[in-house]
Amino acid sequence: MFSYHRPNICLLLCLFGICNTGFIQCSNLPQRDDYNSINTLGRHLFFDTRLSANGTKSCASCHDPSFAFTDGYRQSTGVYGDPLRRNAPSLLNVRYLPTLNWADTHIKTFEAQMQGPLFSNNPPELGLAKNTPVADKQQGHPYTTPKSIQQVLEGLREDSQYQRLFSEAFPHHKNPFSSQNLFRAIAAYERTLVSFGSAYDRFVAGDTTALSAAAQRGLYLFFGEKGNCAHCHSVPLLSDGRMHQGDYSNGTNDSLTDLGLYETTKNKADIGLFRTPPLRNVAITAPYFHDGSTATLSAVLTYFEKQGHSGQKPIALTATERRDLILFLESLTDTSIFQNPWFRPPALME
Amino acid sequence: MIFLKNYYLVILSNLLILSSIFAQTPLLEQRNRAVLAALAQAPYILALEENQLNPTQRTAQSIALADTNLLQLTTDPQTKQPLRSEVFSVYPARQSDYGAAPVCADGSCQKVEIYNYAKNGSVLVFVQMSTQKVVRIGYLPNMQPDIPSHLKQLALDIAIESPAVSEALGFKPTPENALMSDTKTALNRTRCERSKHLCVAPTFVKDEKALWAIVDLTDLKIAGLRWTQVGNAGPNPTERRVQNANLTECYCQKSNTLERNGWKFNYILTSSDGLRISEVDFGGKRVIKNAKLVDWHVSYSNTDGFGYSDAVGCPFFSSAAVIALDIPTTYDLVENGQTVGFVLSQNYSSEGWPTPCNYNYEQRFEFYNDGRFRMSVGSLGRGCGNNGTYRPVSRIAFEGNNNLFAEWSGKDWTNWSKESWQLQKSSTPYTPEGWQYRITDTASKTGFAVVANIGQMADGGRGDEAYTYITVNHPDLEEGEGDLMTIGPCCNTDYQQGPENFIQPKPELLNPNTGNELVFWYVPQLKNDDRAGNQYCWAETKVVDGIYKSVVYPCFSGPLFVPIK
Repeated sequence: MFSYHRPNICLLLCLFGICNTGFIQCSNLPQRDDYNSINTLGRHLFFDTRLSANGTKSCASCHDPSFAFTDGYRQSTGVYGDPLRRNAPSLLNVRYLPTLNWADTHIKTFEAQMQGPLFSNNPPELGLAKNTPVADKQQGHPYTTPKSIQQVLEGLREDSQYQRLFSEAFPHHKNPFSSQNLFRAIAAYERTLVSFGSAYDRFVAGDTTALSAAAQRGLYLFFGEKGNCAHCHSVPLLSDGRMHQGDYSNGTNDSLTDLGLYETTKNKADIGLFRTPPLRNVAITAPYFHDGSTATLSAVLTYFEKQGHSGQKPIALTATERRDLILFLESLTDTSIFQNPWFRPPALME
Repeated sequence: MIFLKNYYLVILSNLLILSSIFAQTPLLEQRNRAVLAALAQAPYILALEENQLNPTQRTAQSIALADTNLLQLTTDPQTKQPLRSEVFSVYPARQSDYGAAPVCADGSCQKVEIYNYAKNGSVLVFVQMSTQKVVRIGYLPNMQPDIPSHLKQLALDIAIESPAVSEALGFKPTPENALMSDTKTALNRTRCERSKHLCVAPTFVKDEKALWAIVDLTDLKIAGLRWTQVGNAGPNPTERRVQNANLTECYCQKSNTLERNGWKFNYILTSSDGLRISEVDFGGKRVIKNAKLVDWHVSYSNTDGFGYSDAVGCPFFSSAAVIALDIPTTYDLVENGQTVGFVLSQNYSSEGWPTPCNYNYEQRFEFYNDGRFRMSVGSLGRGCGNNGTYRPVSRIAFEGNNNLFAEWSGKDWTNWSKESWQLQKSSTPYTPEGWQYRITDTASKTGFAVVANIGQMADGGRGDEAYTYITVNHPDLEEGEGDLMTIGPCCNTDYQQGPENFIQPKPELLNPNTGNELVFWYVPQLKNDDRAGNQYCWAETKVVDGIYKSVVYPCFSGPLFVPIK
């Protein structure tokens, strides 16, 4: 039986006086019995490259546990090598965010979110087709015969392991191999991706030795008036989950072609608005910003020193303050995620 | 008797397995027969065919394979069953190999490289031709030799005949379409992961993309297909150069000595470790034993873990994938209009550079008049994807008197007590002078401070994010005094770049009083970029003055060593 110790998140949140504030409902937090058969099925599907048109990519290709469920690239690439538009965000703790996209406030559930990577064709990410069967090559990508989600499910139905997993997850379904069940299982797994075990969390919980003196200075800088980082990167996720002006492209990218929230709302005031990225595990989720345009934490600070952020004044940091702030940001890494078998692929799959 | 019975069962099962694998092409069938024949007779090593070798090499191979000590490395230690092994190359041992086999200093040795597929390790056999004897056998675990031409052809055959490759490309490719067929690769979640099997990736460029056909040469099958984005190639500006006729005779076969600006050292172009300098003196004092460029690891997918493990070196006596076409050059090192030293530089290039899936590397030794020096390594693009990370592996062996290694903690110097590694991060502290480490003599405290590269070197570099390793030098072991094979897989994203093999599993204590010689390994991480205005480790074709020319955006790396007096 899988056992996993999760810190008392409600306690942690209440330390900040924000439990049950509406932003996060403690009653919605995952419980031990979340590790059930649906989640187990979802874990297998999440790491399975059969969920792509040519069998080369899975959800984990862009959301790799080794990189805190990101992939380390400016922009991810799809199954045919096409660059995607934005940087792959971490999936850890995303279940607590009000919206699940860099710049689309309509996407509020994992089930809705995964429609993009599974079925988008501009460019193809996992490259699947929604409709079945797709026999005409012209409908798919020119480089391969397209594959529909139904064809994927047919393939999984032939697999004895999936026969067991689907029937255990959906015991009352006559045909458990449905796309809705597939979406539901992957979403269920994604909801279990929770990480509140960083040195910062231990410090907040009372372990005063968890952070070095320099990192503690960085913490006060982060939450204090001078850094003012917490204005947008607020506890507990270190993101307020809201949309802010985000032209962080350093002038190197075609930021004007990515209009952010405007692309879905068509409201001119929303041009260039992007969701505040959570900073937990930020040291291992480089590169940064919605376009992945900035390679290191040091470069991020340099940007804010020059440009300010979200309409605020540039930050003037001394060399020591810079290092303190970076040490604090590094303390947000939850190293337990690397040891947690639940976050790893279930088996070697060729 | 039981052993024999089991042995024949093993042969039979091998035959069945291999027959099923090799069902298709004449080349595969031929390979099948050769493998089975080798497994049936001691020393169970598939030899290079006579027409692949000259008479001296043939003799060397025969002497090597007749050595009964090899059986320990080509059979299972418990069951004595044969393990699939193959001779990959036979080359003259040269000065850069003498560290591993000093007896070969008479210049008469041949080096036989054997790969053991089952153990994924390599065997080096030095044969002294003057005495017709094997003088040294070394084993290199988790290291793979460069790919010989017949295996390159086999990989091409597997890739080209693969229906999956044809379907993905939309046409059946020809051998001429393939690039990088002899460069080792890896692929996560397959047996190629972290180079546990011998795998290569014939790569086919189509439009702005490259299809990687990752071929497992151990199991003889396609391990997987992957796409990368290579960007708009543009027309080929005809950069192809003719190989300098003096290269082999003057710089590959023998060592040269350079004496200039107070510096004196020897240098030679190695088989697969780039340009190697040795016995480096400054002001009449020995400061460095030797320094070289061991590997280039180029990763194109963090999550899928595929890319290339390149070696660089002399075009002869090696199967290095990216080779020197021209001789080493020296030129003045100029800062603020003043000549402050000189540079010894060596370029390595694939034939088709700067078109996609071709590479161009540069290795520079920078010697300053005041005793500072720097081993700088850079990529000139273009590579096989616009989301790549280059990780060159450099090795510098210091003289025995520099045996105390310390890092700056932010307040004071902390000595390293055992072999270890460390990553340069955004939070890494430096002294006001920019020093990250120092390597000094215990008694006199003289030596070198190591100035971290954070992009201040005025060579276009943007900082290294480097892994630094310190190991104890063991010239008697296969730890790099001689030419090293590819020591790490292409695509590990962590400290496992190869040097850790000489640290794990039990790091050796660093005892400055026992006169340990230290080896400084350096692996920077350089991410390429093709975005307009931000290009890095990249090359493009542009119209300049009405003709197509290559525009290069190099990424140079490497710390600066500053003498502490």
